[in-house]
Amino acid sequence: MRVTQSIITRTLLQSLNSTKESLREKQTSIATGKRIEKPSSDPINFSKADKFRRKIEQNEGFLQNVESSLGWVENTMSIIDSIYEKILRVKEIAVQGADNTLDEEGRRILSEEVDSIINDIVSLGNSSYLGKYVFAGTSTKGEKPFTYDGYSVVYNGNGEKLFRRVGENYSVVINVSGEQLRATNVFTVLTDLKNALDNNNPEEVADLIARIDQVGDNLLNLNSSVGSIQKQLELIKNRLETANMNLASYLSSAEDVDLAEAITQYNVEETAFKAALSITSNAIQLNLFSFLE
Amino acid sequence: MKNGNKHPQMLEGIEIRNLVTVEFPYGLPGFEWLKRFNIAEVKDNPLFSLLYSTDEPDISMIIMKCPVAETSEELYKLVRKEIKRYFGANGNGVDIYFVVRLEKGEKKLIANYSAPIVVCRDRMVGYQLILERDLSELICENSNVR
Amino acid sequence: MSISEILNISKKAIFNYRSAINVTAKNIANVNTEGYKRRRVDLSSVTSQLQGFNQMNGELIQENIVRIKNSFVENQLYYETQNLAKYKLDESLFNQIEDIFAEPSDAGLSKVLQDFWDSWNTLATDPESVTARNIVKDKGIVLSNTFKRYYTSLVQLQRSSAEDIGKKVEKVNSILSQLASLNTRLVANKSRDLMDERDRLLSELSELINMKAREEANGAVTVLVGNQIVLSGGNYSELQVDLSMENNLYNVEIYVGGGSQLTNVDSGEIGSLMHMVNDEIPEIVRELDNMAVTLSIYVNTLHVKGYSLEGKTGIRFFKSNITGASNFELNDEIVNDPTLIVASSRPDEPGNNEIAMAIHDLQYRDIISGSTVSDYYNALISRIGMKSQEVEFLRSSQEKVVTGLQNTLDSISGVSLDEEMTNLMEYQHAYEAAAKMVKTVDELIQTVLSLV
Repeated sequence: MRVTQSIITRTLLQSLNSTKESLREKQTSIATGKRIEKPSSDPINFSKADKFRRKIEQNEGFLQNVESSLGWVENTMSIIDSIYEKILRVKEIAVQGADNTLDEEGRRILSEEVDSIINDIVSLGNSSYLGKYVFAGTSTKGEKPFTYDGYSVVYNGNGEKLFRRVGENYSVVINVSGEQLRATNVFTVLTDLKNALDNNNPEEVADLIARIDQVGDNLLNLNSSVGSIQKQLELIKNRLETANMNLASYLSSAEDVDLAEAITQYNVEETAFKAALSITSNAIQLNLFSFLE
Repeated sequence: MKNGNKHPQMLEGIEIRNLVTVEFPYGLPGFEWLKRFNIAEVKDNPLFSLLYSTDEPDISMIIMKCPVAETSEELYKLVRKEIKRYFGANGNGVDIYFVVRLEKGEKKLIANYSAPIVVCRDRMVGYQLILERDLSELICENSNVR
Repeated sequence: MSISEILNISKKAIFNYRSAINVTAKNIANVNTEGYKRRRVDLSSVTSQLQGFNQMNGELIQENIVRIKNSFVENQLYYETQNLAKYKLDESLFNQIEDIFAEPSDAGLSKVLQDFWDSWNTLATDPESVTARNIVKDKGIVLSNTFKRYYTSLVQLQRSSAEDIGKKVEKVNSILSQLASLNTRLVANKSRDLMDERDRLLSELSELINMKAREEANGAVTVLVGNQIVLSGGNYSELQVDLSMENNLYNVEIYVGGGSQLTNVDSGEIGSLMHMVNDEIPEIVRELDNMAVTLSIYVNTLHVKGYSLEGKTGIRFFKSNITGASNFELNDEIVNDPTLIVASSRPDEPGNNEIAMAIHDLQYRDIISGSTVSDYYNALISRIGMKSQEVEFLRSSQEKVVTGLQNTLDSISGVSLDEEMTNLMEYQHAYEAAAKMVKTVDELIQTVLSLV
């Protein structure tokens, strides 16, 4: 085939154009640091990368839920703990009150203390965390969940559960409702104790001691079930964090242009390397780039 | 760096060798459905390896051996104990790796020391341990670096 | 042979060589003129006459200047040029579509939708909070604006593309008109220049639309578009564009001169635009509309069951009459008073987050064509990306095909300077030889005459 002028020019122009195109794409990817600049650059990997990016965000949402749930749960546990501490004192009072050598006046003073403890516990039962009642079920605002008129404790909240999403199809219940608290018999036993002391009846008081112990146990059981929610949340948190680190690592190797460069140019020199180590919790940062320079 | 679908010996200018296939019965967090991975060393680079799924080779990560040459006996003991506790597996002859990513803004490589990938050599089975305590202290104690 | 006979032959030779030199000079002058078909003077008999000067067989005949043309290659070139023009425009249009969606970026629907779902999670964690409700409203507005922005940009692209079709069809008609008058002139006078002009116009036409050309015996060219004759001799039929609108989107049809519909405009720039306007863009809009309607229905169905902080129920989150992306908007009541956003499934339960959680959970449910909204959108974007990538590849390989064909055509009929120069010198020498011959003969005659 004869080679004519226009053939030469045309072929040259074509090869020039294709070089320019690939240069532009390379340059953009270095500037943004990402290789998948738009879906057409790599449609299949874009699709995957997009899904995983969304997954990371979802996980971060779940992690936030886990954190706030942990806050709530830990707060609940410390309140129940405080109530338990009070029960320990109540037992002492009951033992004293059951003592036949104690006089009416003595019992009256003890009764007053029990009354004050009941108020404290009602107050604890009305605790707020971030502006919401801890032991009211879903009635987290408005009237206080517990009221005490000096004779009995009334619960105005409900027994509904507070759910928090911590996984795609997975929620945890984070609350202890006022009904569950009431079910420990803490209020009935204490008001009974107060009555018994008011009635100056040592046998009645003595009978209550076993029940007070039971209330203590109930509170411990309640707290330990909350504790297992806490453990569960911690495990979920660790798993979510690890998953997100793995996902980030995958995205990094799929998209970051410099990673390959960093890996291949790395030269192992142990002493120099050790000098470059610096520590933070959960991660060690290798200052490779400054080390390479 | 794009992986997968390419000849396993050569990935975009990075040569690899000593490829092994490891079963991960629980997958990896974030990739729970992938149960089998290849691990290959990066040629002339004893620190880094490549981990990628056999079913979906595009899913890959860079992993790193413990950066301190003399890895402590304590470290191995801890890892073996955890494997036994969580997975009931025998932890003899384990290789320990840490997942790595690039922190673009600061030009740093970040390794995840609280979730090592552990491979039991004898049975070619792997797990990712999620530890309550991260190992950076343990490793650094050993290397006298602070 | 008589002196006069020798003279005659020589004279003819001179004329022939002179015309050969002229042709060569013209070839050289036109080396950069596109479509210039190289003229080759058929001088075989002349050369052999001169060489065998003593043979004296027959007259020297100057052949008509033969126009080199390989019409098979030319038609193939038209076909491939149409495809190239189509791929080029497809590529440009797909790039514009990708730019509209702006993925992957924080302004893209993928992230915006995720932010929307996340805002419901924030509300579910804090169902009593007014702040959380403000966030839901804000993210809802961004979501709505994104849908509307996509819609507006796609419709604009479709409109301007439809207008482009009109302009390009006008161009086609203008070319056909010029070709028709060329045909008439060419039948009378087969001028090389006119033929070159015609070829240039045909080439331009092939970029615009799918066409075939056929040269008739009388020298006129017949042109078909989509298997319908639009040019025959001095007569041509204009193409007409018919625009109709449905659901705010155009539909374009092309007719031939008031006759039957052209269903097969599938190549050239017009082919690319037709497909974009009639098929691609409406399909993308349809899918966006589908997403918008699905989201509004599912979110509203849950939302109306819930109770606001003040205990109100039956409130929609999105407007009730949403037909697609263009009117995908939040309920005005919600925009004016975000406390109407519900989280609870029952009255007087401020800590109840069932509805907010259920709305958040919609992102995992297969609510649109058997998949989640995110997956549906992801598939749409990937499809556009793959088509875009494919067309880019087709375009770049098609460029090579066209280049190859043009080279073939060129080698048959293009001008090579080197060769022309060589020819020129050859003719020049022969001319001089012929001229010398005449001079010699002339001198002979003079001698003879003087002798007499």
